[in-house]
Amino acid sequence: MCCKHISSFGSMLMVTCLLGMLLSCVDNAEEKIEQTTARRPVLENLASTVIIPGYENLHSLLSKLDQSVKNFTAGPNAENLTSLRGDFMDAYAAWQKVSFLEFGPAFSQTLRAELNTFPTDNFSIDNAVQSGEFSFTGFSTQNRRGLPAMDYLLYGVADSDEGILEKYSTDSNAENRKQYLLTVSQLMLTKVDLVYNQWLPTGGNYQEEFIQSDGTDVGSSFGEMVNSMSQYLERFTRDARIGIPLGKRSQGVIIPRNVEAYYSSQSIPLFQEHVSGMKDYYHGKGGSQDSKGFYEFLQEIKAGEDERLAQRISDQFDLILSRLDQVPSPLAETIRTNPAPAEAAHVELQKLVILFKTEFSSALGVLITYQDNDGD
Amino acid sequence: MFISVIRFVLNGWIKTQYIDPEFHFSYYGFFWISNPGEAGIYLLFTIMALTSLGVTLGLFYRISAVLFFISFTYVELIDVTNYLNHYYFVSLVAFLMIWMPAHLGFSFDSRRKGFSITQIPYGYVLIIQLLLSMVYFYAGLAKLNPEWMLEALPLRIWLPMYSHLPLVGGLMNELWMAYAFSWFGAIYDLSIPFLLFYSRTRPYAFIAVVVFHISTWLLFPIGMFPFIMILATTIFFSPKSHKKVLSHLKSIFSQKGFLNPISRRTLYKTNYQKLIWSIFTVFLIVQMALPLRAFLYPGKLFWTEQGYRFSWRVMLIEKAGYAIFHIKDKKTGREWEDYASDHLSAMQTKQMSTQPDLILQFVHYLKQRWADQGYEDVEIRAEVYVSLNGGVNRLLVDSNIDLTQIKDSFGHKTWILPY
Repeated sequence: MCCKHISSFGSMLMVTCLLGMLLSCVDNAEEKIEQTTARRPVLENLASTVIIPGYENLHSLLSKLDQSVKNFTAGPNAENLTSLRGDFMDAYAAWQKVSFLEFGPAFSQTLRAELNTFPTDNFSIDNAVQSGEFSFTGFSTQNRRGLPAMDYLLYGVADSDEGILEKYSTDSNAENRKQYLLTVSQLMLTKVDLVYNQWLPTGGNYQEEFIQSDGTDVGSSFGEMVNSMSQYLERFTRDARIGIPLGKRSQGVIIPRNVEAYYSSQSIPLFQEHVSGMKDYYHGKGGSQDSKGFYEFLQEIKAGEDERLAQRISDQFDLILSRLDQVPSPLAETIRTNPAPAEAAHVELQKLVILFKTEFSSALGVLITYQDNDGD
Repeated sequence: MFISVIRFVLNGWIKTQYIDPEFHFSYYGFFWISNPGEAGIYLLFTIMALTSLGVTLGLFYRISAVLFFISFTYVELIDVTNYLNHYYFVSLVAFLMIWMPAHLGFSFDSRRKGFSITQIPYGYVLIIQLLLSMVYFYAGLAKLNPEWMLEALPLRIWLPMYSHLPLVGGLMNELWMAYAFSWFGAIYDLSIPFLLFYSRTRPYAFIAVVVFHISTWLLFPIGMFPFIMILATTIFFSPKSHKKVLSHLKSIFSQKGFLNPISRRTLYKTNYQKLIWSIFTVFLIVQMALPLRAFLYPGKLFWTEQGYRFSWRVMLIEKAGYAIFHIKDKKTGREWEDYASDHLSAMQTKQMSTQPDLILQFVHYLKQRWADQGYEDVEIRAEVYVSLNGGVNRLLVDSNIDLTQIKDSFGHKTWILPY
């Protein structure tokens, strides 16, 4: 009898619970539709203050660079070389701030590989210049173009500035080399133009799609951003820029020549631009405007056991930047002679990767694959 | 089941789970199970599809049931990281189905043999009922832990993901919803077996089953499981209610002149009845004991996951990890790093990064790989950070220990750091 009472009580309870849940759903139905999720403002802000202005800036600096390339090839003198190099570095720095956006148009256009595959294949570039036959189609040629190729063409073709100027004036292959430089510049501009226009409401309007998919599944904008960012952080921020030169992926044998911007020796300043660009993206900050980003979102949902996850990630970005400050330029030389400061920066980068892969992903609840799971 | 197989194939999971990965995690004691290669896998899936149809239609039932059990279980045994409680459940039921006379009524076999069985000993039904009860009960028992009941973890992390849903979306950000879901889930799991056994509460209980599983299906990526459970619980209903449904079905078929078995009131008999009852008894004892083995290990179960699988512990924890493998060539003293994502699929990487036994397996695989490349004597340490239920990430295993020196066993893994 006792059992009967308990179980009928149980079923009553359950039925009541169920009804209650259903009713409460119905009650709140209208309210719900008006409520926007906390994710949407983040998406709107990231698109309008960080991503699109980022591409816009890169686009205009690449146009400027292209003009400089034309000036330089028309008049290969010291003055034009200096101003070309300045414009090149500005464009390279602008690239750093959007490099990690490996989703949407940038992903479908393989923008990273097109613009920044390093180390560049200087031998193939030399061969092409010598023969006058340029082949820029296919994945296998990505390491002969983009910013790293230009880095070689503007800083690495000879040991001195005079030597470099000779390569573009008196050298027997000068015309071919100029043509190569022009083509590399053109290709970059075309690619970025494509990606930039796909984001614009007047173009492909990817912005709209980006803001609309405000869920957390694999195809959602949050899913894409978080997955692409943590993958970029592992492969390109940590490994390509510092881990691989340090020999972390080559059985402990260092490969200093594999640093980014090897010929111009600007690896560290560019690295800093890259990390601060990522930090701005995380904060939803573009120029002087600082609005909703992941930081604000994490604060809103009180993420982390200590409710301070937002701040801990931000602090980690700062820690990396200060470690990078302590790495003497050029990075390649530091790795050869005194790797300790570079190792220290690598350790802090590793901690950021860990934060992203563990607490950050958990807090945002993004899925990594479409596969079923039962949560264990 | 047939639908399950088709769904698996259509989603392209055969390729991502069985053909692409260069390495598969074995179950302890099942290292001899190997991936049969692309053709082999497709063959296994074909067998699975055909035999699941055979079982459903009652066509060559016994052989179909045996082959289905073998092919399904084999595929599941290939890689631990694909382990899902509901696949395990399917395997168990498939095993029981082998011994069942489930093909002798409303089936092609009964038509072929020209006779039909209308009654079977209650034991055949009871064993499925008991298995289901255990699934629910142990799942409920596992929920009775401080995190689930008192902190609504991990549901309070998961639910806000659904705040974009229409109608219920806004509720998902409410903390009380997480508590309501947690408590309701626990009460549901613990009480539902009893409510299903008791005839007066059964209809209500079944409504609860349907609502519960449909809502979990809507919220979580758990695939076919809800539907399997909903259909499975119908076994609690009396033969009368089943016959009512069946007669509806039959009338549809007979109208088309499709099926018209000769009805005779016969009780199923077999010469091996005693053997079957003993198999069932052993099965039940094992099933009752397995989930309890976790209590034999010291430490926090959710952290160490020692004895976690095969225990109906579902949707209990949110875990995210990241593993760095430090390789040291003892000959030259050179050190470098290795990462799972270079060798494993995203799913494998995720699972490996939070489960100590898989970390150990992977370390041994890495050792072999480096040996193949000429680094015969390497030391491998694993620096693995894990966030449990959104907590601050911390080291899962001792990062100073050379894991190549450690062999897996059922013993307590002392190299797991305490939580």
